[in-house]
Amino acid sequence: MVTHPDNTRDASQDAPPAVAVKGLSFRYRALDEESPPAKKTRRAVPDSSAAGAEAEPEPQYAIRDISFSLAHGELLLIAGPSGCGKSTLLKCLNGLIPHTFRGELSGEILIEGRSAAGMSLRERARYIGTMLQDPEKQIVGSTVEQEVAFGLENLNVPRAEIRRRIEAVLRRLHLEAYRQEATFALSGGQRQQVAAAGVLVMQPSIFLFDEPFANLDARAIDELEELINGLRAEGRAVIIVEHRVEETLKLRPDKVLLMRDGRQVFLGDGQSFLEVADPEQVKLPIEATLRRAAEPRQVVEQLVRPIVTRRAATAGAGTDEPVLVFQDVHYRYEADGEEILHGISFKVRRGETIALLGPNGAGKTTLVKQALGLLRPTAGAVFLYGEDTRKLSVAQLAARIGYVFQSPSAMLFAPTVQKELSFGPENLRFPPERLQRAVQRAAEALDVARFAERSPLSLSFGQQKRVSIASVLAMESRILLLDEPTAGQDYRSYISFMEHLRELPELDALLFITHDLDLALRYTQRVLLLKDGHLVADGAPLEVLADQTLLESCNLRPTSLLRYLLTECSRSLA
Amino acid sequence: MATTEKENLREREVTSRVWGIGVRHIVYMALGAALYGIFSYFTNILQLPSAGNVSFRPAIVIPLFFGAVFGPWVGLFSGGVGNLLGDYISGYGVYWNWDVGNALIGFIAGLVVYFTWGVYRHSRSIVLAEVFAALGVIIGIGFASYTEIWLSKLTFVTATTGYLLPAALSDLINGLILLPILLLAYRAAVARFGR
Amino acid sequence: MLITLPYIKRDTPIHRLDPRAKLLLLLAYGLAAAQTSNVWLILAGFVGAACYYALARLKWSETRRAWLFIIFLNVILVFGNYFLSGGAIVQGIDLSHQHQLFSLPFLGFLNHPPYIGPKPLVFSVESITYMLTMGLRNFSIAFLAVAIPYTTNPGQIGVAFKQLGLPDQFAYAIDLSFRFLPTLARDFSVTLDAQRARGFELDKLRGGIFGRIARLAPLVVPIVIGSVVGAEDIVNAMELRCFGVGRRTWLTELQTRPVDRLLMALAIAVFVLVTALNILGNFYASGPLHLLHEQGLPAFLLR
Repeated sequence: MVTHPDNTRDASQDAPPAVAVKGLSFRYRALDEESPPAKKTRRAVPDSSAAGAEAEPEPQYAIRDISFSLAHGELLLIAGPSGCGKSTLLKCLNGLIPHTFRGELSGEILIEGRSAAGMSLRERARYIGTMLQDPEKQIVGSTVEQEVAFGLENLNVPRAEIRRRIEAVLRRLHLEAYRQEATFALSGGQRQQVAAAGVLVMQPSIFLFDEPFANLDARAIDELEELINGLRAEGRAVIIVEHRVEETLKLRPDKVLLMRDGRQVFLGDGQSFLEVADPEQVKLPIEATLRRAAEPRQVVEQLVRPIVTRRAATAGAGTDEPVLVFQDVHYRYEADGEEILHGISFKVRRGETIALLGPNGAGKTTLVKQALGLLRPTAGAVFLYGEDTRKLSVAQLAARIGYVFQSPSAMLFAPTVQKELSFGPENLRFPPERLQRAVQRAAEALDVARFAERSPLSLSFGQQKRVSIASVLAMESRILLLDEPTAGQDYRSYISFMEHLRELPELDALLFITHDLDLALRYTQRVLLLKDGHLVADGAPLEVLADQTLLESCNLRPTSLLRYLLTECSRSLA
Repeated sequence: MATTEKENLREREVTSRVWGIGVRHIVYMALGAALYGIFSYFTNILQLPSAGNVSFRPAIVIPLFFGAVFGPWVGLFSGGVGNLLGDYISGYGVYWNWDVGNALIGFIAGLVVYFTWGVYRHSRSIVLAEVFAALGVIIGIGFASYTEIWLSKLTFVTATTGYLLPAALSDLINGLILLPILLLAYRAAVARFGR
Repeated sequence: MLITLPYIKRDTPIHRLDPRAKLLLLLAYGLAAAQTSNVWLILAGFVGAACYYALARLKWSETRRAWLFIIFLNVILVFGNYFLSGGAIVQGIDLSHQHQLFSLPFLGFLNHPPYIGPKPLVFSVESITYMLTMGLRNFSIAFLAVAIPYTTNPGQIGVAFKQLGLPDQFAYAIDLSFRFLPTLARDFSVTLDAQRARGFELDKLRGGIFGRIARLAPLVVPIVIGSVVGAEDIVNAMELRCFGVGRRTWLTELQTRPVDRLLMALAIAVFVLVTALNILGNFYASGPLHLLHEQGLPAFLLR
């Protein structure tokens, strides 16, 4: 098998479905012997007498009795909250189960009419291509060309043939110009396209996407939609696993499979899915949520409730001096480099909750780093509580303004959560009683006190996120900056997390850096819109976001909630 | 008869656990080498302050850690290619005897997998990892330092006082302090994915 | 903090050389130069290496940091070596009698066990020349070594090792580690910033040696553990695209040109010749075959 033909077929009537799954169940092996992530570190191990002695609990089924079939050219959406088993189902399809992850597999998978049992990964790769959630992890080549070539190189395809196929795929995805580019320097959207090229070049007839819409801006989403529609038009079957149901439904999936606790609770078309889906579990278009509510107005009121920080609520309106002032801030990385921020000015008052919105690469992170002194303005100044930040060190500024980075794994290191929370206050040399009090309050505010003695690295992603915020809050800064607070969380944990922030004690101001319009609409009082290093709008969320052309130029895509609120607005005005 | 067969099997399993190489090992090799390279590079350009005679060289913990957790081959690659990469991206060139010396460090540190199978749940296994790490540093740096006697005609005294002692001392102190910290952190992180 | 690889894209004879030829030349030269301390031979090697380096057309501003480090290290080692051995540095060549020029009291250092302590530092024609030879040798090797990272496309390193006979998977791991570099450099700066935002100050760590090193944990742990955990996804991604199932093709293929083959043949020839001479020299007390074992000082210096 030196070359293999493109495995797509015409969906003629007698052709078997692209994928058919019958009564599929899987459970991972018990903790000690199961394979992920490091085979070697598991199993009965000489010095793990404790683990060996414990009675092994009967492992739960990760998925139970799943059945569906999908024809060529069809799109299937697999939806459900995290932990529902959708990624296990994906692994069963692409062969990582049973190849890498061991456990008990029953039921049947037919790929192009052939039983998948006993198919090697190599054979499966002829039929199934997988796009992992994070294209950054998927891309193994240093340049676009190397990345696209990777799969074919591994299949020992001759060089000339590889070149020919790379050529074709790059042309098909309009990536010819990027052939020699370093993959690292690509934007998020381009990276996804390149990752897709690396899969497409292997000509699979079935495409799996694992949460493809995470962290993409509007233009990238458009490109991705175009790609997926193109794949369907070519007669490939597409399966998307996603909890951002709203985006995926725009693609008009032929089938939707809803999972909960490993079981299949619904299988049918998109329309009937909207009638059964629970808006608390997955994010649905606002119309679907409203249609199912008795009193739509109440729902909207429930949804749109800006956070008001506590301190402001109690302090009253008397003290209206700004807590944070950006005064004509310019920034460039190098003296002769390109300017990134072109004169940004705004004031933050007590009690405000602000969304700093903008497309990827607009300079949002560069901007907030000026407030912490992680970067210093090349011209202009930042004032914190009336003090010029130029006179203060990063550590001194950190005592006044807290910055929580997007990924908790970038900062968690301590052996216990307790020590993690104490790290900041210790650096700021809090006296012992104050330190203890601050840590305790932060732990309680984010509900992490109950794992105070556990390692933060052993917690789930959502818990880690809360620990990371608590460890910044423990420094008792009164202004909190959160970078993409909801990234990486499914809809349910996103909402409960945001509701949690509502309860944070003693804050003067709360800023979110985000590209999530719904977050801005539902939880903030004010939006700062950043584009190419300019502050292009500043005002109440609905006011700023009403400007269609502005949104488009900022590469932001209106959500169903925004559209609904705007029509409501104009209706009430009329 | 049956027991010997079983023992043989177990023996073979241990051997493959220590010496076997799968896709996972390849990725960890690359990652270990890249981490060692990056950390060396940043200590080169950041000029971390030294504490007395001991310079900060946190990088050394990388081949020790990758060896102790993923076995001797991954340790060897992380140390050898990592050192090559560190010199390479710093623009210093290629000095094969130091690459081999660092490969030895990771390799010897990785032999501890014979006893621990890469699992560090008890202080006994962590102490073992420390012992092998120390052996690795001394032998590896010793190799690189003493090849300089022949390669660049240093005297034994200079090779010892100019290369071996300062390099081995700071590598030992940095490595032996940071290795248990990383092993414990890794244990916790693995527990998270134990599902 | 971004990482910029030293490779500078240019079209020079050295840039065009096959990476295998450059590596082989460096190795062969280093092993040959270690076999003699004949000042003329080493000087010839130095001139040759300097010409090679000049052909690469690297500017001082591009290579300054590397050279400053190399110069600093060599000055320390070569002079340190002289002091630490009290001037008795000559080894591996015939030396019946040293022509002493002068000596400085108490500046040398002797540590032959019965006696450890200061001794006069002796300067002779032979020892000074020997010290110079050491410097020339080190710098000639440095010329060949430094040229490599600045003139070699990193994308060719993996395939170079592959075509030198390293198994597919190991060679690919080299490529992959270059792929990881920029990502890890970014992770490094993100973690450094995140910890600085928590009041962590790298240049003001508290405590003694041990405490200060342990206080690097906030920087080291997130980067290492984060990337090791994240590597699981990369493993999956590679397996799903059939990595490691059998022989693989390499899209890039290095092809030697005549000049590459000539250089490699030359490098090997020099190494073999020098090694043979070195061995033969043991059997002849003088004459051209004993060349490597002599310092080769001109007679007028030895009067």
